[in-house]
Amino acid sequence: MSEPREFHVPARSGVAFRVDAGAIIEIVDLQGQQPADFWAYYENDLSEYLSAPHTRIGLMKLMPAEGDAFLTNHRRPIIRIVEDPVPVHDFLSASCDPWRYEELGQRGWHASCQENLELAMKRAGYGQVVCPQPFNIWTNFHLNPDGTFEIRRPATSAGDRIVLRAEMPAVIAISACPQDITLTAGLDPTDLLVRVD
Amino acid sequence: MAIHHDATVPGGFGGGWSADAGQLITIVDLEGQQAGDFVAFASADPTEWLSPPHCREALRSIFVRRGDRLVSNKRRPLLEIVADDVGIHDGTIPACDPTRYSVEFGVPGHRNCLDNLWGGVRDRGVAIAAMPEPLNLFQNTPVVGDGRIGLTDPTSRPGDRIVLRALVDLFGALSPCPQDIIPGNGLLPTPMRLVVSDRPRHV
Repeated sequence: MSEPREFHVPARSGVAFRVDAGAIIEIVDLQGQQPADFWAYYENDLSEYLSAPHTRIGLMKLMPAEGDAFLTNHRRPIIRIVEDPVPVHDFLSASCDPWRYEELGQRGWHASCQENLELAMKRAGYGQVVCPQPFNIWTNFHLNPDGTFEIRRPATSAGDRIVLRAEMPAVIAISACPQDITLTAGLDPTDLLVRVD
Repeated sequence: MAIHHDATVPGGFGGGWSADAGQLITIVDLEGQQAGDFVAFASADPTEWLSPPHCREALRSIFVRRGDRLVSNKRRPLLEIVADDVGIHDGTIPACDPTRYSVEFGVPGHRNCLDNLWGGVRDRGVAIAAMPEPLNLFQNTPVVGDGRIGLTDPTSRPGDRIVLRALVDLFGALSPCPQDIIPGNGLLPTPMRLVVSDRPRHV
């Protein structure tokens, strides 16, 4: 087993790290109203990754809940939700990317979750990876009965957390979402803390 | 009034297609109750593909309907729904794949949409790195309340169709889903017709 580790993820940036099967991953929203885009890949084959569509059909639900496991594109459990005190997340939207900010009228570069994933994975030595639809922790996806939805401010306060467990040896990437144009991150992106044990 | 492509894809098998910007892609459920997994790529750059999660964000809805412009993973409109007899499609569940049948249903070697889509794309002679999430035409995946989803048969009747306009040059694949173990295709995979034409065709 690896030693316990702690990663401070500054606002608008990302981190990537490996975990053993059974590792506990705790993500803390330090100041509140900060979503964390979350990806997981099977350590021995990065083309196997946490897959939103496979998880949905495996669970027959749009959104996993405490106790549920996310499945890979090979339909194997990769991450389980152990504790989820603020269970308001998004599991239907893509991560933000340079094109999203262009669409929102941004001129010039803007940090994005997709770029944070790509940079963090390269920095950690994993090279170029695919960017599947993430588990958007604390992105407040509000679904209306007619199938339309809106993204509201996150429901978290300072110190709120989620606890996950790795179900296989995995490479994890987390992005402190830099969205500061819409309500996704409460118009003020802030830091995250990640503890691995 | 040119027809550029006209093929009947057998139920449970796959077929490739390509369409230039402005052309219409008509997909017909010939016998009814048949879902078709559908993928599309930009011909100029196969790392750009039709992406259901990006479509949801662009449309601010988990469903698609006539008039919607369907976007890519680079948030560019690739297709527009110009006609739709059915109105029920799915962008939330994956293509069925070898694992689905071998592990979950105990039927190794069963035909599956993932292999069919790879076969259809290979027919076009273009190399792609990974198969994106499909848009499952006529697939009936109702949200049954409390975030739970169901899997039921399509409501499509024989001859029902959807017509998509290509907004840029595209290629892709269609797989009339081989699922015959649980509901999804009326327990009997049947053929679909795919026509690429300059004008609407009553096929």
